[in-house]
Amino acid sequence: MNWQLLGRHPSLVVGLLAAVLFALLGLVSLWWTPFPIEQISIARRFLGPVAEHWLGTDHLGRDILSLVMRGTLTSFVVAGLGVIIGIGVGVPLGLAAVAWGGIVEWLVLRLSDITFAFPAVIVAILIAALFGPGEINAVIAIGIFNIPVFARVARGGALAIATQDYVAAARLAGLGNAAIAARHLLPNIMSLLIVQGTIQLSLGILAEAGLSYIGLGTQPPATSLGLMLRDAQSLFLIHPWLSVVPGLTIVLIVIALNIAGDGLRDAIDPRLRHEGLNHGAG
Amino acid sequence: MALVEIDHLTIGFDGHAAVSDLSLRIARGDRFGIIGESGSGKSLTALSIAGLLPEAAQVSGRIAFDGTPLPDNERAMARLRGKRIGMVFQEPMTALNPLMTIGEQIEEAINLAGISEVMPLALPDLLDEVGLAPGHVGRFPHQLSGGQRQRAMIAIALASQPELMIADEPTSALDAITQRTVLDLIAEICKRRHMTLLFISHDIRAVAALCDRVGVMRAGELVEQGETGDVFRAPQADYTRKLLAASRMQRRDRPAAAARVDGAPLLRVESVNRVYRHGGLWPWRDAPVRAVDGVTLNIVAGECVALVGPSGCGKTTLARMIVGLDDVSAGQLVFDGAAYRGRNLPPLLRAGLSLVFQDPFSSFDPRMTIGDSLGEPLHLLGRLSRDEHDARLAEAIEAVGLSVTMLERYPHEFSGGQRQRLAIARALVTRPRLVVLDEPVSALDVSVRGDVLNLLSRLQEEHGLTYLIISHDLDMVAAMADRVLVMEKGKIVEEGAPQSLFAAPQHSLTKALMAARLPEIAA
Repeated sequence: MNWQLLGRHPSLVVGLLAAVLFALLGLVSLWWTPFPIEQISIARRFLGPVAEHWLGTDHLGRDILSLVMRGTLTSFVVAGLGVIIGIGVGVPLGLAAVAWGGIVEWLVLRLSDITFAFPAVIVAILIAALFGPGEINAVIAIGIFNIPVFARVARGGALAIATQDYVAAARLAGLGNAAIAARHLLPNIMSLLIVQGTIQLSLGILAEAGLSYIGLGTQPPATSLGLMLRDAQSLFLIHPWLSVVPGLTIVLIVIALNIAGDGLRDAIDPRLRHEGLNHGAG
Repeated sequence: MALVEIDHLTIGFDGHAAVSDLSLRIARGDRFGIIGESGSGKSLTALSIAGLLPEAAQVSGRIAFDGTPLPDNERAMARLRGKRIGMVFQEPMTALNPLMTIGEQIEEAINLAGISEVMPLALPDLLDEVGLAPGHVGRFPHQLSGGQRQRAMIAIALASQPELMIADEPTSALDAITQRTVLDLIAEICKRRHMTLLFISHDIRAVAALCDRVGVMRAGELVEQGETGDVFRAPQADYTRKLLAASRMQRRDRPAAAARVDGAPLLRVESVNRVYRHGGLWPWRDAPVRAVDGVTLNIVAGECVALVGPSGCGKTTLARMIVGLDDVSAGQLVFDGAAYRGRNLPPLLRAGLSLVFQDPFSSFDPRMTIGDSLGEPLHLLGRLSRDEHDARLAEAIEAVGLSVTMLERYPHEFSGGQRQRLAIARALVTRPRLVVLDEPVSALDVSVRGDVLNLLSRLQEEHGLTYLIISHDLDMVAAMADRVLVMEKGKIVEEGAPQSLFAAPQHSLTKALMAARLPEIAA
């Protein structure tokens, strides 16, 4: 990808910039937040936006900007690890299904069918029941949910590649199934995986917020955007601001990632890029 | 007054002219052919007459249909297309809607043409005119053969009683016999309806057989136009001469000793069968398909054997089994004394056999350098030292007339002809004894076919190669092969030297293939 490509896809630039901005905001919170997030000060609770606290304080007097920054980090880390688990397990499964075919393909497909049948929340409840709630469990639940998604995307993309003559040429050259998957199939479905990864990242952020909201994800004193919503919900009628800030942050992050995902697909999917030209080839 | 008048037409994409300053007249009732190779802008010219250019195209110049310029208004243009212009595209499978029956699609075209009052009569008449049976009405496109699909496309194009029919490579996706019948059908319909035809093709002989006026296009320019006879008898442009020369294939001279037919066979195919089952939940409902049915053949070292037959006759399946991409259902293959059943071909034997694919555009991984792709088969020889590896690559790429510096490049930087040379280089890199060539030139432009065939001949002599050529192009086979095998429905039905076989064909399929041959262009 080059800079010229970015210029032709303004939505990609806007989406990527916004997403990177939020991610940086979260990263910064590792070293610095305006106030320590654990700092409780009942006397200063329910402050609106003031010079000292840009986004006000919550029901315990904690600085909301600090909480949003750290919460954004939690969201990105949980969703990101979920995507990594999904890619790490799902993509090899999908490629194996295509490269070996037959019984392997059948097993992978049935396995992903079964996983699809359980939404992330059900998996999370199961894991929470077994090991107790926590961030790690949210990561595992989201990761499990991502595995069949990536397995299907990898298989779909690789199926189209596997019919190409160069894959037959590689078989003639004596390459085994694993080598074909690694040398020919994987590099050619990379763009699909990047696009799907962006979309799954935004879904993961939503899922993390949902899990924390029902109390199965991040536990206090750590914080996440979903947890902030949960804390604020009983006060929604009196202090709506407390819910609006984390809610709006989630919405903005998800929109940014979706725009970036759509832009990426337009920019790197050659089928879309050449649309409208296929008749002019002669 | 001419039906179609094009003046100074220029079509550009991102500032690059794809068609430049093209002017032509097509008179009413003419059959006008445009000949050109890929990228010559011939399809764009046709699309511009129908107002179907992609949005990104920058167009200047004037196109008039029946004296009036083409309307800018898309609705008016659609009406003109629907009523007065019919189009037939290259690939009928993608031009037809897979979810509608043929009958529905033809009826739709009749309705859009606005002559629905005559409808009940029109559909059977149209079917009859294009040679489809009434029983075909209820079928879906995938239930028809390629030729039948193209007939359905022609029926759709004819539904509105158009004054002009534009046919863009209508027969390139069809095999030789079907191609001939479709060409004859188009010629007959044009004659009967006094319809104007714009026929676009890369096949100079198809154009010569069908059209009375021709234009030759090259790199967006019309280099020559005139009466078919005049242009081909006394071509003015160098390019036309080159195309004409390329369309006449000379039988290559081979020393008679080259093919030692009495030698021990290098490859033996012993009563090989390949049966496909359609799987499904009820296997007994589907009769198994016998793609290859009891084929026995021998290939002697140094020979050039051609396997010809219509599409779907099993010749590609047989080739895939020989090179070890597919398993035989029954029988066995013996290469160089070692028996195998297909995919169990051991690596060192695999190195002695290679395959050149039909389509040079899909036979290289777009994300790998040419050097990496060419080096892949060297795995078969076990570990080679770096120097030996590089030396092998250099030897292979120089053998096909390309330079070593090209190893660093990626496939998209090469033209079709160069890619096919590279594919041949890849096939040679392990120094094989038998090379299977699956339609080695059919995806290439006419002008480079000759070069590639010459290259193949030269390599055969230099390296003592044995060739098995899979093809339906009888001219190419006649020029290259020492021995021809004719295959139909999975069986080999006739065999012989090309001269004697083509002079006195015995089997009905061979006769049909010979009859479908388009006439040579008189010099």
